[in-house]
Amino acid sequence: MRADAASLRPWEALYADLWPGLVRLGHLLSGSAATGEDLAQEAFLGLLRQGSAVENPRAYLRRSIVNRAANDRRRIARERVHVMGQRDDVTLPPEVDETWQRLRVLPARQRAVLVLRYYEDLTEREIADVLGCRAGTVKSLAARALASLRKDLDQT
Amino acid sequence: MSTRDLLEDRVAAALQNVADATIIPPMPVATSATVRRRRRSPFLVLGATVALVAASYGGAVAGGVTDGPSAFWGFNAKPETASLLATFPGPGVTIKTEIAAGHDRQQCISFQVLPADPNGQSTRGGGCAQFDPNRFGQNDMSVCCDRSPTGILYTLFVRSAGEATRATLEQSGSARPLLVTKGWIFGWADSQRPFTVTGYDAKDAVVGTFTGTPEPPPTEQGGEQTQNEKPSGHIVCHTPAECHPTPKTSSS
Repeated sequence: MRADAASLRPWEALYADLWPGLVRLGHLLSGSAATGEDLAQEAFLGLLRQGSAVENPRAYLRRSIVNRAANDRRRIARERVHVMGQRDDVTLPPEVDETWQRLRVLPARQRAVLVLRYYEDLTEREIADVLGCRAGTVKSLAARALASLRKDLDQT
Repeated sequence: MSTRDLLEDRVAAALQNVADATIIPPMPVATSATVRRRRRSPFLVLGATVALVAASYGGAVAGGVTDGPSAFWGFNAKPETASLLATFPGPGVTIKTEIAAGHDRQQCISFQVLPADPNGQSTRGGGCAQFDPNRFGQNDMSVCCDRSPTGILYTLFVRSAGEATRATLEQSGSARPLLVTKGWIFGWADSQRPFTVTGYDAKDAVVGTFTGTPEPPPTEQGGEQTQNEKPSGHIVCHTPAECHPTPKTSSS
């Protein structure tokens, strides 16, 4: 189990390669840059624990972040009193910000579908693999998410 | 261009803008010079895990953990401010807890499970909130659920002690003492049975009680799950089976 310097080198290269993208993905899924960083770190820790058993580290990390983000949102919901009023730490143009604020409050899986579809450019089948559901479910989640967004944005 | 196309473009643009605006923190590097200041490097944590497990196995938990790197990693805490709260016996494992400053004036509490087996994995959990440690039983910080080596699904908790100087936990007809130190009560309980904690002051008068309700086994879909609806933290899972349970066919 000991992780010496030599055995960590391939991990470090992978880490350096994937770190920025995974922080961004975590940010988009969690709604918080700080949480995004945490999610990325947790995912890497999980990967380290799995070791060579993981055939596709990138896919593992992506899936791990999606699942962790969903768990984290449930925790934050329970701690709502402590996070109310928190704003994200990025500055955006008004229209973009309006859309982003609506995206931030979508249910975790709906939001994950949109992020994976429109940011990660995954197909419905690939998203289904990440979420562990059927492609039809992905289509349904996406439709519900877009309908919810359209309704919210129309009201503003 | 349809309304849907426009909306999809808008979503894609928003996501891309946010991603582009994300400030990417420097990649943590766990060199000897930065171990104390850098935070949340998986390499650092893995090293810490090894060191802490070794300390536990050697029977030097109380002395060893104080010098080890913080268990805070992956939480919204500032590990450089972490201090050891306590180590206490869990169900066949040793638990280490730390407290650290969090963001937005929060305080964060971590749990780290140190298995007796030096080859076993160390699990961590924790969470952040705004605590008032002066009232008995307040400020529940609990993590659920992990399995002990004997198969017990257990919850770890910390509550403020207030005036209590000792506390007992009653569950399934038996009682056992809990650790009370530094203004906090520390303990574990079988997650699937109700329990009651009673606090006593220096004159052995009852300060108050609080109860815990059974928690459902962790069955959330996907990912490294172990949370349920009540606790405010989580424990990282042990095994691939726990990390990747059979996905549900339904969705939210």
